[in-house]
Amino acid sequence: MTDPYKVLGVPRDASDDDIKQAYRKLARKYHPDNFATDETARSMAEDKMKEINEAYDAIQNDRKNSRGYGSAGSSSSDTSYNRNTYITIRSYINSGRIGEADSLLEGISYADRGAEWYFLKGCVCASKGWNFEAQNHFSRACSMDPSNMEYRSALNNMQRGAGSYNRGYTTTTSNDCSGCDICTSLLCADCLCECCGGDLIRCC
Amino acid sequence: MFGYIKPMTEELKVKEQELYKSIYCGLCSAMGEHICTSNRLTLSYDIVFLALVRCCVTGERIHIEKKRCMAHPIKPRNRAYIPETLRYCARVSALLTYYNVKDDIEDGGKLKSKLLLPSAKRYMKKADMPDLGEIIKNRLDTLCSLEKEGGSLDRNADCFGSLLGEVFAYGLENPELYNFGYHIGKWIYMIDAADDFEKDKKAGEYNPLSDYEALPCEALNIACTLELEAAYAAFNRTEAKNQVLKAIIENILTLGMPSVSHKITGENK
Repeated sequence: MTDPYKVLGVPRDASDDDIKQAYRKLARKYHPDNFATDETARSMAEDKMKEINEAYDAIQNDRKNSRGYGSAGSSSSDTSYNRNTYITIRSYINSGRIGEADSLLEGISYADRGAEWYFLKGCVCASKGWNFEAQNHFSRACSMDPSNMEYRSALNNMQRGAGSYNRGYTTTTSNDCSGCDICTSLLCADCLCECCGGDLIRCC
Repeated sequence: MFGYIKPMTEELKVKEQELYKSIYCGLCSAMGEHICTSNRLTLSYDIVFLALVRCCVTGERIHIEKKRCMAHPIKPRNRAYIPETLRYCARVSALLTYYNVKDDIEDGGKLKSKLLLPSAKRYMKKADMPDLGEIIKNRLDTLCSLEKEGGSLDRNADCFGSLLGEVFAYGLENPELYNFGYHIGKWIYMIDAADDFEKDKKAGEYNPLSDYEALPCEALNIACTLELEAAYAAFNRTEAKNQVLKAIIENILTLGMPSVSHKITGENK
């Protein structure tokens, strides 16, 4: 993996706030919603977005771990255990080993299920084509962690996918221009012209 | 089945509508010929759709004649003869009717289904497709036990989808056709669950969505649309051998079915 600090374009000794700011700026710039019309640009933006998210997560984790020992005690070792499991699960999902990813997810106890758990569960469901549940998990992940762009864009992607299929159906009921409308408009135009001394339609 | 799969008639060309009607008529008479006259009453739009798709993929020749029948004794109507396809669809329809009735009786035993059982059994014997019957029975049993466990909507829909996949692809060895049927089946299951939501809630009967207070319209609508999209993609990967049928099927997939799912998942908003 490339250097996460380089991806975000910040020096290694940057403060947490600087990193957050740099991340937000990049996330806004490369958000796939900005490229809704251009398919290739969007997929490139999605890749870039993923890279940015990963870099940000990596830095956050790195800093949390280096400073967390001692102060946070047992709870931080617990989350880092889950952290590693989540990384394994992600690699399973990416390589299409959905069954293994799912059983690992199910192995995590209810109390430990955070936003990322719901996001990954949503990914598992989506790759099985279980789109109803996938959406429920994604929106749960979004409501638990509203600032996470990865979760948000997963949910948006599903909605956009459905939207593109529906477009043909909804536009059939666009406002139409009937013969009556044309005649009325012409008569009105004629009246207006006559008011000004001209004439549009000779006979009336 | 359920009768959700209809074309949007106002968007059909005249020749497409004519063909659709004549296939409907042909299927009705095929059901009378191969199974039993009374079986014709169970004809549904869904089976007509099965006939359209199978005929479009196999490219079987369609022969049309003007005929009178009991339902239309005065004015003769166009009737399509597509022997292989319609024979298969008539038999499938008989099997599905039988298992539907049997399912009803196991669920609670309405009087109507009890009365229908003997004739439904006769239809099934006439259909004479023990292998497909076994597959359908298998899937329905699985679905039944999933529903008893209170399985999730997607899990149940997956099971029902595999049933329809088998029905669409039976004897044709076309994996894309299986995929197509699978997604159509999932769509039907979800739409049916959403459609029965209020009714089941009042009656206190099982519904895969009964965990929800109100119908989750938006998520359902998106999930249904994604199934249609997948089905449409699978259909485009099969080789359509009849362009008029292809146009009708496209109308059903992109207009008729979306309008049904919009109506059902949108009305309670």
